[in-house]
Amino acid sequence: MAESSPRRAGTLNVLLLTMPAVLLMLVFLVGPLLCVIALSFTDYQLGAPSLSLIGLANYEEMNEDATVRISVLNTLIYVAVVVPASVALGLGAALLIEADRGLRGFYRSAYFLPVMATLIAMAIVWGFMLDPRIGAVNFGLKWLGLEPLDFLHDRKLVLFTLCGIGIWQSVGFNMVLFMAGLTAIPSELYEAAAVDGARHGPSRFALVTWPMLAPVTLFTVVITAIRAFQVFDTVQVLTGGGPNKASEVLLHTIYAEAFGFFRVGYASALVVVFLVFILALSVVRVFILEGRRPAP
Amino acid sequence: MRRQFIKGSAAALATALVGGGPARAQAKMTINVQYPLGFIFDKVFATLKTEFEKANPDLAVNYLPAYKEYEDAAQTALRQAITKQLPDVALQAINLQRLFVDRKIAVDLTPFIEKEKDWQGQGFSPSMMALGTYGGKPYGLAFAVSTPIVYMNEDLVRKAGGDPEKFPTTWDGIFDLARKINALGNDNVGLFYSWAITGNWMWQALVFSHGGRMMSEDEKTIAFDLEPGKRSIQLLGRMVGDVGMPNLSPEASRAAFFGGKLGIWTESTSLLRVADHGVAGKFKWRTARFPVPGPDARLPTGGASALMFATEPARQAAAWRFMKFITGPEGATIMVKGTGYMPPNSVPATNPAMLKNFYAEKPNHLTSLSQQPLMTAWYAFPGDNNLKIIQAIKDRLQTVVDKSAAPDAALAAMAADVTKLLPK
Repeated sequence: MAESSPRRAGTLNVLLLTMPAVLLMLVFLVGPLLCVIALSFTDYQLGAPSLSLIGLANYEEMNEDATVRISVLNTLIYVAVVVPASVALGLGAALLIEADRGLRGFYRSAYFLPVMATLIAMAIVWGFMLDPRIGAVNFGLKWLGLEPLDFLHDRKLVLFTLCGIGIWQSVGFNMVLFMAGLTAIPSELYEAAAVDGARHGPSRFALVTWPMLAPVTLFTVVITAIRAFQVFDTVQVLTGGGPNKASEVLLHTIYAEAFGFFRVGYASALVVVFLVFILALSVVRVFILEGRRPAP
Repeated sequence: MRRQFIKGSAAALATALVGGGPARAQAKMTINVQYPLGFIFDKVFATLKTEFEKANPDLAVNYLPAYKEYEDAAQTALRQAITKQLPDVALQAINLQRLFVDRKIAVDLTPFIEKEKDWQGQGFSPSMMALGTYGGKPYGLAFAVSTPIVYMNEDLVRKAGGDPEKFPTTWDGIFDLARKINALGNDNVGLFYSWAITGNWMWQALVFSHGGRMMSEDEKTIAFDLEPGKRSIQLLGRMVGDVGMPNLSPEASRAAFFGGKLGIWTESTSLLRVADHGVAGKFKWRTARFPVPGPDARLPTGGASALMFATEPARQAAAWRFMKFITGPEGATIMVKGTGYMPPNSVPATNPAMLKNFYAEKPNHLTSLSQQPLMTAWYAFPGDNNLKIIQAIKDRLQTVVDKSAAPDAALAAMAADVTKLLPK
């Protein structure tokens, strides 16, 4: 008894001290999530006075819904294009900027600008630039003697146009992450590598930079992938998912179902699917990153 | 010193409050109104506001930003209902009024109509009132009605060897002429069928004009996949396949016709005034009747109705006065002169001071009037998925127009999609 009493006090303290954080988490993270999961089993319509449980009907409908299939596929293609391209370009930009100390500040801000700008506003600017009649991009193509392209209304092109804007937007962010990673590499390693014969760029990169950047790279890939899964602004502003679903992506489908057709129950089921994707990515990140950490 | 100052300002404040009281009570009440299709309606509603405020000095009208299209109008208003930001009066598509009645957002107009003297005599005929009556109760006052018609560029039709006076009344005749216009070259387009208008209106026009219907009498099963629907989708397929109809956006098709590059354009009569301004005398154009292959052909009545969303009695009374004005004889006259719609109100067309002379000078506006005997309700699909069904139909029509699906396959897919969305 005499021994357990301070331990009990300790448990109580732990409970008391963690309670605010746990409570906030329950209210703002777990609670809404549970609500969405619960709604996904109902036929709730936005603003409707009542709802009824319909079991797995929403998930069954989703299984047969061609729009959802296209939407998931498009989202995966988008992620598969944007992630490698923007990570590679971000790394390249970081290496180049690190190499030239003179104009580093300027380049850093220039590449970071797209990240800071509001994507909705930038999407409108892209809309003008890509216009087949008056757009700057097609003007450039014509000047080069090429056929003008209808970037946002061509079914085969539109998704890749959006990928391009996505890459443009995330390169700067990835660059900053890589630059932070680069500055963390101790210069002794390069000196040691030089002693071992790695004097030129490629071998220095392969021997020191790339292995030392691995954790940063993984982090960057996962963060970019999560952000790419969340693509919405450009689709909403530029294409509305069209033409004929060619640029329909998951978040836009969810938005259209919930706030266009008011089918909140169905949209919630889509959100659950979306969360599974994001969760899988987060799990990958946690497991690999935590697994790498040396045991204390 | 300070106390003196405080006293003084308190007194000033009190006077302001007391003095301001009656002044505030006399201040104009502002009613909020929202309407769709700004490119058609903006000028008309500006005139309606001026005239209404002249006749009702105690009221002011404030327009919320115009809804883009009809579906967007319904979606926005349903969202506004949740956030309690509804306008007092909204103009909604005739076939989407049901959404607001089912959700108890629209106000039953019976008590207001009962207070009116000689309601029918003011031109609110039973046929007009039927357009906004649900379950025996009036909710909407029809503001503007339309049917699909044919617009033709007379210059292009003549160049292609056609005669605008004897414009073909069959689709085969129109297709022949369209192919000849295509053959003129120089980027000229023979035919554009505005299939995308409000998602399913022009589809209803094709099916109804072939004697078909959207759903069975009991509204349990779809009926647009029967023979008339099959003929309709084949026709759309032929427009794209045989006649080389391009896949234009609504904006691009307007630009093509106004630019003199589009020979034959099937559109709503509502765009007549927009076309007047767009063409601006660059070439001669006129309208013709929409082909009705039949048997027992009908055409869907497009257009907008005024719904009351106000909830407080004082605001409702003010909203009623505005609704009555815009749908009454005076409002209908302004509306018809400023658009291409037909007036639901029966007074103006027979009154020379109002519209009789206008129609004599504007024969293009008579085409739709001549189709009046064919008019039937713009069908509203039952259930909560109404808006989604419209989208599903539009998506499948699009696959025919962009040639990604064969017409028959697209119709079967459309039928399957819509069936899934109907109430079980």
